[in-house]
Amino acid sequence: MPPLLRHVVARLIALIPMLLALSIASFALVHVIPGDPALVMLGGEGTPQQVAELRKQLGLDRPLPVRYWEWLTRVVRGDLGESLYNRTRVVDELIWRFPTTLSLVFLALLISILIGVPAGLLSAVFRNSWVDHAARVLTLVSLSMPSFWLGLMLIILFSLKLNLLPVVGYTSVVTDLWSGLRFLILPSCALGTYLTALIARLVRSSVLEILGLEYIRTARAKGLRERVVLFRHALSNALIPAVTVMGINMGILLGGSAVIETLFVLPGVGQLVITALYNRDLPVIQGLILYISVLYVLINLFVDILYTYLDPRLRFG
Amino acid sequence: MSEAIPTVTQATPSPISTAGAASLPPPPTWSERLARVWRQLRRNRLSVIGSGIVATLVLIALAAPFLGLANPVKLNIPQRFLPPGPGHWFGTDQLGRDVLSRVVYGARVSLMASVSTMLLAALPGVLLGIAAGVSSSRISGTIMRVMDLLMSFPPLLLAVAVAAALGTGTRSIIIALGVVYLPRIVRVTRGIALTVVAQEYLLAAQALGNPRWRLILRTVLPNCLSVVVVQLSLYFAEVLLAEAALSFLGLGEPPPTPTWGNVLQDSQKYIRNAPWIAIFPGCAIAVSVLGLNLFGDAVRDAMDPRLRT
Repeated sequence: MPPLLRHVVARLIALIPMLLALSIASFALVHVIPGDPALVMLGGEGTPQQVAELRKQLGLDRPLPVRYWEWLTRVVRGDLGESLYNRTRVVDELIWRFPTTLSLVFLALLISILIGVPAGLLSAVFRNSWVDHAARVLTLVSLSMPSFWLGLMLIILFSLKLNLLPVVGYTSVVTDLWSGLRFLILPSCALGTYLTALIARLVRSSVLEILGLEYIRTARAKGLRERVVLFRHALSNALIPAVTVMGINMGILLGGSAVIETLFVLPGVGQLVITALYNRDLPVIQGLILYISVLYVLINLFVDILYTYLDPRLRFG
Repeated sequence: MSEAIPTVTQATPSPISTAGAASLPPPPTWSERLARVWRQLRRNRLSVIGSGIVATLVLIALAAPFLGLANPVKLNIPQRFLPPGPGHWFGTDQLGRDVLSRVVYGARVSLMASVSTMLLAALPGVLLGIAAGVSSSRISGTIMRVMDLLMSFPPLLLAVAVAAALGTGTRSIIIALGVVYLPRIVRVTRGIALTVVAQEYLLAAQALGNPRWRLILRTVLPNCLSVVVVQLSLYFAEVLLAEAALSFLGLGEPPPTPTWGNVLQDSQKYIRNAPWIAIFPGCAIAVSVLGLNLFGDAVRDAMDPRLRT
């Protein structure tokens, strides 16, 4: 078996206990919460008989392992239960909201790559010039601002003062690309700034490190054009750590998207998490926790495989 | 042989050791190390600015009751929505409360929460990390698998989960962020401990018959700490940001107690007419985090010989 394939298979096998543990954790979480879900559903004011009846209906009176097993088999079949609050199926809610979060995160990632990589490269090539200094100051400032505050400032500037973009509201990019983008541009800038700075900084330091290596000297000595040396030899190798950082920070983007969605009132998964928490909507919280952490684990796996693929030493080693 | 033992013990870093001369190629003593770090730090103007910012912030937060500020929670409806100016340098909010005073008192809550989070995560984190670094592969593997599991939860969800279980409030934020940062600190510390374990001075100290606990306490731990502390100062900046974000989402201290996050949450509704309520608390967060980042970066540059240019 080629090393890369073996690596992938090993990682996939390692995933099984991880997923089981995640499912137990998200199941346990809701059942260690103080307060009786049945009581919560009745608005805290049912007669003892009503509560007992509802508990029986919800299966809350049976032993935990049995309930876990039932819950797990339902989850595997794609049934995450329904909301206590408005009786919608959690899965439907997720399917409806997922595109918003996905387009937000994707756009933020795109912005951070399109700005972060060139900024880092320029900074490294023109080290200690004014370009470098400006880029580094901007990087530091971007790493220090809370994304939601940046979002607020962007709203004040672009929506309220300059009247360029809508303040609230949402149109999906799927139905209308242009007007959807108008609603997404500020949120994704606010969300992507931190990652942009992180990528710029990382690309700068790894390009600087690589430019000092011998194979770059060899490439130059061979008479290759500087452009070829920079892009083919330096940048492509410098991007390997950047990919990992992007992968690790997908979690930051996913989490950050909840804050940004709440601020910009976008109907995404993150906003659902927060609303469910306010409403103490336990089935929704449980379903979301399981769903998002599985997604998170899969993204990490994907990044790991990508990383292995990009780095020939790992691919053939 | 009996003469060599005190020599090595002397060379082993210890907070009270001042002796510089050692016959073996020794790890630098604490005083040497501190002196070098201090020289590097002074050379770097950014670190001076960074530590200045952090020190000012801590001072202001500690001295808040003595600064002659308005009561941060007292309502004063006739004075609502005053723009920044004399008397109210940061303006007043929708209930006539002084924004400057709310930012300063907010610093107390936010800093307290971040410091507690770091303590909660760092104390067990460093110990577990070192344990994982020096112990057998089975124990180390078990520790790391558990940490991997904790890390596989997206941080925000973990915070939501804790808030769902324990209710909202600063305590929940501290616990949630503590759990988020624990595995990260364990990983970093283990990585450093592994490199320390591979060093020749450890082998030398071992060869001299030092017991295992002594090696761990007097050689591995101090050598790890210097590097871990830098990472902690950078994590501290992240925790400060995360704390603000969580209390912005309403998971933190409920109103009227001001925190940087909940003041910003309040400000949202009034940004059209009273943008100052939103602008200043965010500036406070950004400047504090910037200070911590500058400081952390500078200390890292000063301590990491590879980055010295």
